[in-house]
Amino acid sequence: MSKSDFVRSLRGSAESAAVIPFPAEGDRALVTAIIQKRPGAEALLFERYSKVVENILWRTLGPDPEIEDILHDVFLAAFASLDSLREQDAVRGWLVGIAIRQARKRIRKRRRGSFIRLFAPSKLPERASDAASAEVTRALRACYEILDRFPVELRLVFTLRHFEGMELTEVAAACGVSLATAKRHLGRAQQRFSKYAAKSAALADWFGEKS
Amino acid sequence: MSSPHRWSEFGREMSRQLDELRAGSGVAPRVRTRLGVALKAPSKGPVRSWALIAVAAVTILAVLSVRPFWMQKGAPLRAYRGMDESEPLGAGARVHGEDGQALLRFPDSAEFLLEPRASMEIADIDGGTARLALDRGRAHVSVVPDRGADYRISAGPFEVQVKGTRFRLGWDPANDRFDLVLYEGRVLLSGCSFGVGFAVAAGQQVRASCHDPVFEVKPIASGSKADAEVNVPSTPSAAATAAGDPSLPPGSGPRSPDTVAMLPPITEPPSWVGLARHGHRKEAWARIRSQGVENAILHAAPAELILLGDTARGVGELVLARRLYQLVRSRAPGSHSAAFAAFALGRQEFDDRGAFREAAQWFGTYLKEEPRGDLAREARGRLMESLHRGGSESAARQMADEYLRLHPRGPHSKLAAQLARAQEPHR
Repeated sequence: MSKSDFVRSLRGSAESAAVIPFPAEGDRALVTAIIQKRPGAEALLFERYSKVVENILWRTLGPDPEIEDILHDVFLAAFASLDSLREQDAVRGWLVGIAIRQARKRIRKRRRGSFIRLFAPSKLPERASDAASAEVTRALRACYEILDRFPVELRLVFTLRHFEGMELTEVAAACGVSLATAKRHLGRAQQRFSKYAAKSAALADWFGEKS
Repeated sequence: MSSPHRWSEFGREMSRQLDELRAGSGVAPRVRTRLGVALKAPSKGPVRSWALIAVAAVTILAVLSVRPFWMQKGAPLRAYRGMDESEPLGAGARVHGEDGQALLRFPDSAEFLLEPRASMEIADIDGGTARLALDRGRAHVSVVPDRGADYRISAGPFEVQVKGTRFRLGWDPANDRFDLVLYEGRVLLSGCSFGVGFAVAAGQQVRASCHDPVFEVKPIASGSKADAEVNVPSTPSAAATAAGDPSLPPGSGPRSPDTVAMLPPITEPPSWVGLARHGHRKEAWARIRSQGVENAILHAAPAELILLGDTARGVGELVLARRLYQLVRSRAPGSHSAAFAAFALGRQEFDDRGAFREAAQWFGTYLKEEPRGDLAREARGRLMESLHRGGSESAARQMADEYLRLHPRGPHSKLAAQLARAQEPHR
């Protein structure tokens, strides 16, 4: 690699790093462009936020064969109701809110059909067995089996805080509860999770006696 | 677990495993297509459209024509014994695990670790296909997916077709016993009771004998009878046995679940992981050594390979650590673990070798792959410092500006401020 190539490749990394924090100043213009049906505007919104929404869905639901459909529904709902968005600078939070509502709906639907186990072998996505080791799927399986026993709100707060790494204030806003309620939910969820995880061999490394 | 730090560590680990699970699942592009939102602006005319199509076609052709040397038509797929690359092995070569283990290795990262007293022959190597024959004993196999090379392994009358996977294969010719434990991916078995093809999925173990028209399939790490199942292939011989054909020897009919449950349990995954995670490096390393380093590598998921690399580095096994990080990048390209491995390689170049240009490349790679990752701030800081110490002052200053903009109070902000203040030398 020549020196100029090397420097260029680093510039590439710097450029890609510079676009990360989803600049809020661009969102208002983007929302206006979508409302005005300007070509490419919806695509830009999808490009900018699909990863964020997909992350939220994966963390809250775990491996679920319907994630693709739910992601689709989130953006359909977003495009359909964008003109009612009051704070046009707060697109991210608004989309996260829609994603949480869809995730909540999905968890409740799964629970209603609880005889169909999320992690029944036939329900594991095909890609999962190709990409991850048995060890990975076993720990995750144990983790989400425990979360399946949680009340929906506790599960959402727990996964958003610990798996998605959100601040508690963000979690509270995304779930539509007060900060105090979010704190209380998180405490109860952690207590419950520790109790079940201590009995799980797959999570012994984290919650066993040595921990 | 009560400490917030431990909770966030646990959360990160679960997230990492989720990311590995979903790596390359391609959900977003499919949804984008379903929503009908094209990412490029609408074309401004037919000429531009055709020009774009032509450029895309040329690009695709160019990309397809650039293949690794081991995938190029006519280029031989080389095999090596152990880490020694001075003498490539050709067709007819045989590798024995005499008193210890023996490693047969291919440049696309495929590895065949033979247990003591096992023997394997390279039957044929032709372009992108290698045919191997396990004469006897057990082999631990790891083949990286999507590398193009195909591997076919015969074990007596049985054959295993492999694309990308990890499994343990055993063949005992004296007792006509074939066994396979599949940890990852999918393989296709053929020969004897498997007929023309039987697909095995990750998490299953299979046992067969050519003498019996049935074979046994059982989940790994499950001793319960309920989980056991018997597969009876729809071959004429199997049907005859199931119907109680008197011409077949006694006991050759379909096995009852009781028989299946008598299979010895598969060894549980190594417990060095827990020790290493809790910071008991020496104890973890001793456990790894006792079970065999290569064995641990073959059984480790990408995130565990990084942990193994960190453990090796912690006890001074720097060459091994480097190999492990590189293995993660080849085994799980595009994953969160691969990005982590890039950071680890940068850290190793920086801290252990003082090779700042190489370190800068690895930190740059991490930032390209995970610009918002957990280690992005540290990677930017280290990249800036690597550039500075490697003599690339202009690039270092550029990085310093970016660092100050994104992390004005970060741990490298003092150095960043110094570099940003430095003047360009007069030309």
